[in-house]
Amino acid sequence: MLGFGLGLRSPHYDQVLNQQPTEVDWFEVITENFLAPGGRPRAILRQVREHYPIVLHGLSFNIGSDEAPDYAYLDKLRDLAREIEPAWISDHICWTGLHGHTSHDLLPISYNQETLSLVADKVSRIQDYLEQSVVLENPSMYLQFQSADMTEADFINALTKQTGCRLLLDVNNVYVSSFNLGLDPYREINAIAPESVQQFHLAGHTHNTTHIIDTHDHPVSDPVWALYQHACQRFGKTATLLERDDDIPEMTELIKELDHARQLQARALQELS
Amino acid sequence: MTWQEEQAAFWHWIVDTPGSAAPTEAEKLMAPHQQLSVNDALGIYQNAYRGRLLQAASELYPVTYYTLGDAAHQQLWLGYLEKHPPKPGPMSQLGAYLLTYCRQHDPYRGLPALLELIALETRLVELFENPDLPHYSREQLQNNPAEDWAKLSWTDTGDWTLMEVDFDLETYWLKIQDYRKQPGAKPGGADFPVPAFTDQHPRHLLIRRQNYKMHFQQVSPTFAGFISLLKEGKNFAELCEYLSQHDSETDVPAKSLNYLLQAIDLELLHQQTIRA
Repeated sequence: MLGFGLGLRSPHYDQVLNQQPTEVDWFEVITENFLAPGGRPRAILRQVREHYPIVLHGLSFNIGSDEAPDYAYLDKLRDLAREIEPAWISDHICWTGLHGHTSHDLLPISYNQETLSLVADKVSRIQDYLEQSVVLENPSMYLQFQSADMTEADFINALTKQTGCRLLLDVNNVYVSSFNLGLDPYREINAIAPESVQQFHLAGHTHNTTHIIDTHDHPVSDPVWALYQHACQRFGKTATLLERDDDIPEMTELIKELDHARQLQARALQELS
Repeated sequence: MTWQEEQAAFWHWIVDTPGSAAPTEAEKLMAPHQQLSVNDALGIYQNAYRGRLLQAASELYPVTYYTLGDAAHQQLWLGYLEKHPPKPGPMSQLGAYLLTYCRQHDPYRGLPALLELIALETRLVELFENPDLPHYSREQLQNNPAEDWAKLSWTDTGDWTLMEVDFDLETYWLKIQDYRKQPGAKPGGADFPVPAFTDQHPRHLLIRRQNYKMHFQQVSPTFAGFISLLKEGKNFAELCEYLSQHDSETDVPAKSLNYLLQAIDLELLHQQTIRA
């Protein structure tokens, strides 16, 4: 188990390299920021990798689209993975582009048998090409399609079973989607097959009264901490990653949040035993 | 409706028709939300799409952004993205066609300083991501027997380029960087122009990456021509011939060697040497 990690962001590069904080067990990086063969980001990543395990977390699998996998992207990813030797490679259960264009954003999938078949086929092709299983994250949702006839949990359970991929369970996304779609987040967590979960994500959001937006610009909220503790009880000891992408504070602030996650997981495991 | 048709409709609402109300067809495709209208929910995706791209644009083109300010920056990029929606690949390629777009569209095509800034920042983005290659050294040069020199040629490291400029981008760049450090600095808030060269122009700007940082400096037209030919793979004899045509008064072999050493010291040449 990797332990408790942080998303590696540029404001913290110097601190990570110079101080190598021991409170952080591993780092997750946004794959697309490190695919270029040269330049500072790749050099930084090489140095960070000398001291920490790395997980590559991308946005470009575009598994919800029936277009062929982007093999140029996969080639670069494979090269990066050969060099960095990540603990695993993750992406999202979503689609990001159509007709040769990309949104650079995570767009929702209608959960039904038609899309399950399409997504499972694409995931299998990607895994075959990369010669390894991948980990996929549940996205935050702001609407559902009329054509959806499966719950997200049923979709994920079938997908992981059919393809052997694993789930990156973003606890904040479960909370955000559940609020926006009028669902019970605890029921959503309970419906996920325990054996499918590889990793947790934690992040902050912006609450707009009528809806919540997954902004990654705040500390983790109390309801998400509570849901995380519940997830730890259900899924056991699981690698946990804290994300922060905007209004990025000093690293010490993030380390405090990470310590809180560590304590909550320990408490949950203690209660289990 | 198939999933592909649903996606096409969704894509159209969030990408092709930003800011407009979702058609009634959206209501048929989307399940009702407890507290949000379908239109508002689609608006979240619209805003996320546009916001992410505008944010990336301001990071990739920081000096252009600080020159234009928020409103003009947004107008420029939304107009550009409508013509050139992002393609799969690194986010850094977002502005790959920005210069072409600006050269073809008002009011940008009438703003030469802005065009030069965009050209410069586009090149910086390109250079920033090129592979890190080992540099050719003076020692390597010395290891070649004298009789081989005429036929020696080199490859470049891929982390430098030349630009012809009518504006003093170097000075302006530094001023914007200083401005950004000031308390209260905001995009569009700087009150100084991009200075134009009034005497000899265009000038030649050498842009290069060193130790993962970008540097630019003016170089003489003759030196610019010399390193352009180096980049093209011309051999040392051809480089000497070029100098003899452009500067016949000087000791051509000595000047060629001097220029070659300058290129080596600036780390413009790849370790690999080619002997014809």
